Amino acid sequence: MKKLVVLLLGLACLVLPTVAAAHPLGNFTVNRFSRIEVSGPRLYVVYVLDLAEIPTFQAGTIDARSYARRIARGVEVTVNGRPARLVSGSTALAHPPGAGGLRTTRLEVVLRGPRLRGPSSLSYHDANYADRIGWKEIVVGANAQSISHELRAYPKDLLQSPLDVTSVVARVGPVAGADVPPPLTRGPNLQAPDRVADAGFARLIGRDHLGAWVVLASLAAALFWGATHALGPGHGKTIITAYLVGRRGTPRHAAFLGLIVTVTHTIGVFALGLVTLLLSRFVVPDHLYPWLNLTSGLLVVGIGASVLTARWRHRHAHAHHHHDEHEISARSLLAVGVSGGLLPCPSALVVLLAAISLHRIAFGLLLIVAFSAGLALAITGIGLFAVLAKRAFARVSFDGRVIAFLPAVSSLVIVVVGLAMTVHALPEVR
Amino acid sequence: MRKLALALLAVAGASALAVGLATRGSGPAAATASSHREAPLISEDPTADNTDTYAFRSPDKPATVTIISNWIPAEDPAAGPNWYTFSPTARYDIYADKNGDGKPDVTWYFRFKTGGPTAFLGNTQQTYTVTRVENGKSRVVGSGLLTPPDNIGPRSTPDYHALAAAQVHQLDDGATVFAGQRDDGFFADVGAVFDLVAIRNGTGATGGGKDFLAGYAVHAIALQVPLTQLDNGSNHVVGIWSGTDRPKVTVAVKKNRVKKTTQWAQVSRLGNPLINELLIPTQLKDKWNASTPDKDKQFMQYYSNSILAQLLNKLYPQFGPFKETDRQDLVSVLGTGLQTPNLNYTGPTFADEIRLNLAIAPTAPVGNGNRLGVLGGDLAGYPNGRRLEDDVVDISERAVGGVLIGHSLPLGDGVDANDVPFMASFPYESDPFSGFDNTKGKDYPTHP
Amino acid sequence: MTRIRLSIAVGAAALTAAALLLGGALGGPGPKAAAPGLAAGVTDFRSTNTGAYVARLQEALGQRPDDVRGLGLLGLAYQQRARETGDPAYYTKSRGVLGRALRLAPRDLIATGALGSLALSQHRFREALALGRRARLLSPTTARTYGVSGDALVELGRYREAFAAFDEMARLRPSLAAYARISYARELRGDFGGAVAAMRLAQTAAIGEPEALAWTAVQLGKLYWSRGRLGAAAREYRDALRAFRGYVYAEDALAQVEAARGRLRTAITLEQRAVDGVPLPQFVAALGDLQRTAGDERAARHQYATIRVIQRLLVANGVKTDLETALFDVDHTIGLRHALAVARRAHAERPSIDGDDVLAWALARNGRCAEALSWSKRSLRLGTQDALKFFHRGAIERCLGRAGAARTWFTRALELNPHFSLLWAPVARTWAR
Repeated sequence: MKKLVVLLLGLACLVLPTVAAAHPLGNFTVNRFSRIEVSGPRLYVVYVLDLAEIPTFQAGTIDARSYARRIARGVEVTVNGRPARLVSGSTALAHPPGAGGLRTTRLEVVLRGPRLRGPSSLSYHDANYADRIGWKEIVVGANAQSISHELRAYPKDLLQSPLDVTSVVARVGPVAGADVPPPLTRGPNLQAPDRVADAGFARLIGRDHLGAWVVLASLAAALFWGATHALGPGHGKTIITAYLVGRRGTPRHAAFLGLIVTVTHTIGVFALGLVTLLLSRFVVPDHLYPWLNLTSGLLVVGIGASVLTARWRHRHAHAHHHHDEHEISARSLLAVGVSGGLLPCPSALVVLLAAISLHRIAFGLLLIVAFSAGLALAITGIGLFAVLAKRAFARVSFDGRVIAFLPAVSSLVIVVVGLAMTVHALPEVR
Repeated sequence: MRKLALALLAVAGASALAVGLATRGSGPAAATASSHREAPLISEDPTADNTDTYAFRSPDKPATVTIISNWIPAEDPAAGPNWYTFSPTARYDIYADKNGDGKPDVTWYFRFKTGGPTAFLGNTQQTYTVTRVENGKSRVVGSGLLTPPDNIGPRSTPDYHALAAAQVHQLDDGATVFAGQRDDGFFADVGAVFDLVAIRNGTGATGGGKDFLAGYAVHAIALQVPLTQLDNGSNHVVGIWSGTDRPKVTVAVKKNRVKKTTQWAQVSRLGNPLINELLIPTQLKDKWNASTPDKDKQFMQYYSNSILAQLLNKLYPQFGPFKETDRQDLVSVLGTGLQTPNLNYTGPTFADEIRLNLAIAPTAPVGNGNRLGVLGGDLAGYPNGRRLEDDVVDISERAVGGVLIGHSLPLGDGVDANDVPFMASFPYESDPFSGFDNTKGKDYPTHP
Repeated sequence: MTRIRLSIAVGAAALTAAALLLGGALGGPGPKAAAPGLAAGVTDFRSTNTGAYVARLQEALGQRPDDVRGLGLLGLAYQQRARETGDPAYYTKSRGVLGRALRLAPRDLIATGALGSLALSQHRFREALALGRRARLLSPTTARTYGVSGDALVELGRYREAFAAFDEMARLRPSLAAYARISYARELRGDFGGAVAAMRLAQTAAIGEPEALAWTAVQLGKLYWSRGRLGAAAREYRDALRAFRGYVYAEDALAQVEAARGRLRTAITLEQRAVDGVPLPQFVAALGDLQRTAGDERAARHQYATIRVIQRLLVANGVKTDLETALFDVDHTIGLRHALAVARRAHAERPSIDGDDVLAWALARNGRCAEALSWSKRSLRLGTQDALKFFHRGAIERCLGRAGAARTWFTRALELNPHFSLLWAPVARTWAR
């Protein structure tokens, strides 16, 4: 159970990316929005300019008033066929943060238009920044909906191109009420926080870094997991051997054994990882992963089941095996160590495969090292402990029922995890 | 002992580093605009793309056969300043098979030249040469012939009809020829047909479709050939198809510059309508376009196991069941000609051609035949040859639906005729809309 | 017990390998019939009016969101839109719809190939190669897939294989795409006449497609420019701008011609337009250099600072290496040691002859001319007639004390194109004497 929790924790660490807040439409867009509205008898236009990182940099210091005047001049309005002038009024300027530590720009301007004598036909054309790419949106009406929330949250819909509306024709007329200029955004909302958070698809596409704390936490988890894993099946024999070594051997033997197991184990996983990488050159990773997941799921089930049945069959036969391991030479230690670590544990494989599926192969390998280090520490620690407390252990039997159950329970857990992986992998495979 | 351990550790560490470095390239990267050579990869080749092939006995001149071949799908007449022309480096082909072996017996090759490499300044008029190949011998039967310009508008190309009519020419082999921009005579609710064979209104036989190609143009080559040149004297059936070739190139320029004759590779071909669009799977389209009808046996399975029938079964089970496999009827009507009843059988060789029975006389002036052709009782229409007014979409849908095997349903796309009437005389396809007019896509009202 | 474990291990490895191969390369019965699922009534891609085409596809997919063919065509259309507008948002959208297409039909040819071309645009050349190969396995007779793998192979410096891929592409289906690649291959091998001939063929296969016409015209112009034929080059660039208004690559290239003719004002205006359209690092660098040459130091420094900004954004977007920015730093003597490190990393990503050349130049500017020499030789191993590469070689020879050889290389560079670089042609002239 603990293992499962640690496993999940480890995987969770892999999954959690941090968001790099780039301008969602692109770093060199100049995005424009106009809201045409009537207040009392007068026509107003609220104009919003959203400059991405590069245009913001190129602009240098922005004088809101002169920009407002320039915007007013760049807009062509006719009322009832006659050209009308827009005069710039109040402005609001902010520099929301963008990617790479750079700033973007949000400028809101109120443009004051002519008084309307009655229902009139209006034509509006925004010629500002005509040659620059970007979102161009015009809405008519104080309460009309803006798809982009006035350039605060660009939609992530794959089936929608960036809006490219620069002209609009409408009928407008005076409304009841006084001539009050429309308000601009004030305070923190001017920083358009939702736009940055709403990076949405950009986040999924993988513009993510692994924060340092995430890395450290994952490494610690892997270390811990490796250590607890040392108690599980597949290395149980090694523990007993370490105990045996403890009876006749030196701390050095114990340490050496632990090291051999770990190194072999790590190399085994690395080798499999290399094979995977090599094959990913010829086979697109996206198509590998479903099969890898399925295979590893089946492997895990198989190994868990085989160990479980082995344990079940031999649960009364422990006594016989002790006689075999009497000789302790460097060679036998090496053999035991290598054979103990040769088969990459399913759990390590899981870590590696999960890392691959998230395109974090290097990070996954690092986790394997940490895992193996934890394994080494645990095995060595137990071996050392056994050596140092050989007298105490001489009288304790490792054939106790609880101890015997532990590997069985672990193998059961492995089988369940394997089944879960298999079931999860099946739909992806075609 | 310790050294070995350290060595093993070092190996493990080194391999980790190596793998880590090796995987650097697999990290995610955002898009940057091109900084390496980015040649277009995804543009198609409209000026080499066959759209339709027609073959019929000319109603106004029954001793002749008219063959019309169209290129450039969805040619926008308002494409300026990038006007369409025939490509000056392509070769345009019309083939006739007289003995049913799938190989051409008479071939006409067309080569075009423009003022400059491309018609940037609205100079869309071209000169062309026609070469005829028969019995292994090739001769030039027309050279220096002119196409009309594209119909740009009343100021650049005033009185367009006269301009176009002036470019009907006689070839040395007795044929009449025209090449140039024409209104696209194909009519279909392409949106509904290709969108999973949707049928807009009921079974589609009551109108209500939208002619997506209304207003668009094509570039056409029209040939009017004396009947006797194509009649084999026995079963009187001739197979017609059309193709396009482009010059072969390799990275290494061949040293053999002495001959200087172009090596040609076929990039497009068309006999029966809608085959490449609806029957041939995506992964074989290039292969289809490069192969010749005599080798069509390799594609027979796609005629015999009709995907369209499967679709009809899925989408319209209320009209079903539609036979999905072993469609010998489709294989014969499209690949060998109909033997029973004996309409236009050319023999056992499976080849995709328009098969015209020259012994069957025309039944109506151009544009006035029964749009359902043979299925409407008009033996002068598709699949016996193909006339401009034949509604090949409806006919094909009904054929796939099983009309030839006793499952007759009035399937169709609801578009029954071209938006613009055809001309009564050669080259029959009417003048294109001018770039100035720019109306595209026409809705058809329903009718009982 | 050990034997059992060993056999389990071996079995597991074999099983995994088999599963990987099967899952990746083969898997499943015959080709999936995708033909009738066409959206918006167009059988293939049309780039006469990509905006309208995109809108039609979007509408059709709104009604039928699982139309694999439509999704694939839309993915392609978005990439074409990105080419036309320079707006990288379209790459994200392309990836999204293509990903969806592949989830619905993992062996869809169009979507696989389209993801390959997308990977190329994003400089993921190894991934593009894998996708191109996979597409080729799906259909060995489709020409386009060879273009994807061929392009990737070129950027990875594997020219023999790349040229073979281009040959196969042209054999299966001569087209604009094939001709353009044959032309590039010939240019790399130093065959100027052959390159021009092939690009002219490409031009005649691009009729009616504005962006393609503009692109081929610019490539032809650059071929002429590489031989110092300013008039011919300018004509092609103007044709490109007529075919596609505001084509930034034509504006940038024309700016170079105007600068070579001494018309700096015009050059600066043109380059500014290019930068406003798509601020590629090489455009911004060119603008800065032009302004400095015109005596406007302040403006030049501002452009150079903008390149810093672009570099930061590239890093923020996950692009750790960039050949062009490395070259910029080396050319302008900015942090040469760091630039060398960047150049090395960029070379690892892109070991083409351009990568070799930039690395050689970076090494040379850091005084490591012996090492630079071998890289410079590598960059010229195909026989490419490239004045800038010749100049770099000459500078390296000069650094190694071989004055005679250096002068030969400088002369060769200037004979090819006397205006090959705003920064370095004057230097070459001085050193050639």
